[in-house]
Amino acid sequence: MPQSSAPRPYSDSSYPDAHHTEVSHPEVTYPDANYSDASYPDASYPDANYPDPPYHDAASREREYQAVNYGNMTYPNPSYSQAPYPDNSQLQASYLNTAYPDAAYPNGPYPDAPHPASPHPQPAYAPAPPAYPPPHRPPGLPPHAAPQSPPSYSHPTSPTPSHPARSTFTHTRIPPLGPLSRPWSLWGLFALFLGAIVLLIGPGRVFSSAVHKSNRHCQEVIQPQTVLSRAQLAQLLTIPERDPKQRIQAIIAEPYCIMPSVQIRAGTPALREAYPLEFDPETWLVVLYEGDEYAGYRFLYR
Amino acid sequence: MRVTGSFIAKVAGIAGIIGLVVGHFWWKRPEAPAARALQVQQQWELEIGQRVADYRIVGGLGDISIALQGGKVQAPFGGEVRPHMPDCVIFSSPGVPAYLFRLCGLHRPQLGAVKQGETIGAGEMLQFATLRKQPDGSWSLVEPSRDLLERSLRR
Repeated sequence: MPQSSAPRPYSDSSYPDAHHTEVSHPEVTYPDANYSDASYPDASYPDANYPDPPYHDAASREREYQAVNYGNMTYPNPSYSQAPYPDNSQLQASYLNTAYPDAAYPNGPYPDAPHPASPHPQPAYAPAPPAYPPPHRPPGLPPHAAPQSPPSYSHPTSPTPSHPARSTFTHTRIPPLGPLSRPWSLWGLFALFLGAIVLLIGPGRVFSSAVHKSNRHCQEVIQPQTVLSRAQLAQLLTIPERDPKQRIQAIIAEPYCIMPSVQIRAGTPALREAYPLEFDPETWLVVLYEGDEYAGYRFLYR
Repeated sequence: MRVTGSFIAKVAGIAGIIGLVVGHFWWKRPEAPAARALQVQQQWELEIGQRVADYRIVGGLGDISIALQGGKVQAPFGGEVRPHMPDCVIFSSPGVPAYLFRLCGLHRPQLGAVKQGETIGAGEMLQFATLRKQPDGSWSLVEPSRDLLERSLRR
């Protein structure tokens, strides 16, 4: 059976989005007028002509499947829509012919050319039309009917397929992904973020230098008024390292503060005292003692 | 991806911003401090920096060798790192008078001012020497305390 010759007039307009959401309702599955309930009122369906079993045979399933897959399949035969009930002999022949032999339809079941009195039953009246799109090929489908992948909805800007014989939707265009497809505003935010980082670095260093001016060096303030005069400093610098602690303390009075105790040498705790300079309060003279020994001094620029 | 004018403009804009950031850091880089000489009081025949049998001596008497294995060395106090010899730096702190610390074996150490706890460098094998100031201006190798090393090597 030539599947490629079946007309498949897909277009975005023929697949409204509402079609997707209403697939579970058999009444609205086929909104096309040719397949609507109005065209086929139940009362006009004689049970004798449309017995239940033919709807379940393989051929009707295939027709259902194709009708669903192909959407509002437009049958070129105008008489099909105008006279939906062909004569009984043709209907019987098509319904009872479960194998759908090619001989009955020389041009195939859905020929391109107008088919006289094409006796296709209405799949909308099947007891349970398959949900659109059918996830799988319905059971009992003849093997020559290749399963159709569910039609993927194309991008609204993509061209509408015009060739009915096209077997796959190769025109479907997926929008390119990637960072450079993002809107320009995101890049602007990124640039602002980078600029904020740069701006934060400069003031951060200013603030950190301001922290240096605090008394974080001191562990305990002993005498807040203590300062070191030039004379005291000059006299202190004459004392060599490793002299007794008492020589230093004879020159200078109580320190401004005591810095946290540390131990540099193994087994020798160190005591550090700080003396702000009278002529340069931002500079401290730090004196380190180890036991009763004066170890050394250094200037600390806060 | 199509190379369009707007694409080129975006790429140029991003490259410009990155260049500004890189330049900002590049020009704010502090200058490397000058090398500091050191007169060690103890004189030995084999000292760090010499060569023996065409091999370089990376540690001598008075150095504590620590298997860093890629670990970091932190500044035990706020201070300054200055180059001393190839592969060696000297760390000193104004808050710790009369002492110097010689650190050898650090890869690409950070030179200049460092805050307390800031990383000085990392390496595989650290030679740590503690030097105490002498009245004649030389420096004597002394044994560092465990507390000092733990402050420097805290993970």
